[in-house]
Amino acid sequence: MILIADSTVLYSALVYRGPESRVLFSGSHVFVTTQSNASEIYRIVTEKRGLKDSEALRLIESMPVLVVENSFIENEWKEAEELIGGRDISDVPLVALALSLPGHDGIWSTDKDFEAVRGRFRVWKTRDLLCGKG
Amino acid sequence: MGSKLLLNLPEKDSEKIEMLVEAGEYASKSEFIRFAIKQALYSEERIGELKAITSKLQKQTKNRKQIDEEVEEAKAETRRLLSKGQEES
Repeated sequence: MILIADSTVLYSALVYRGPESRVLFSGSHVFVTTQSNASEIYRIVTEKRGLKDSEALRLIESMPVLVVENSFIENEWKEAEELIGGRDISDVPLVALALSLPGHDGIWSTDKDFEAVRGRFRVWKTRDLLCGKG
Repeated sequence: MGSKLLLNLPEKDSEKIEMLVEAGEYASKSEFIRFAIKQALYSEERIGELKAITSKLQKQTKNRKQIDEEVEEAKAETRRLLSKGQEES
């Protein structure tokens, strides 16, 4: 499947040997995220975890996730803002990506705010991906 | 001068490679194999780097609460940047 991945699940997969890690490194799916989400991961690992800039960049480049440029999602920004901006503006980039990317299979996140777009996209919890149901 | 390898490929794979060569995607079957090996070695290198960095991060992780708090702080910064209309790099 092609899954649009939130920073919470991606970060968790990278720093904790748990269910998110099993999903990300299963080799079963293609993961896509936005520059904003990648920047969040970059900020945490440099500011909180003490990685050097070069290590953080290698981490972002090496994770099995396609990071799309902001320009790819800008046309859908307004609609995304209408869909989820009222709940949490930090989720707008991911929803804009979901609106911009054709043929994806949904959003992978544990964030309850994405319930707001469940009618529009399939929203996968980690446990659903592990047991193969959406 | 490189070393020579004798490969046994499944018939189906061999046919697919031949089709790609005939379509002009690769100059020869050898070129395809060289390209595939380079790709695999590059992937292994990236996986090695990723494992080294994630292993370092995993050792620092105390519990899931720590993860949630770190992400929440990063999201707060995203909110601040987006509210200011500032594009992130």
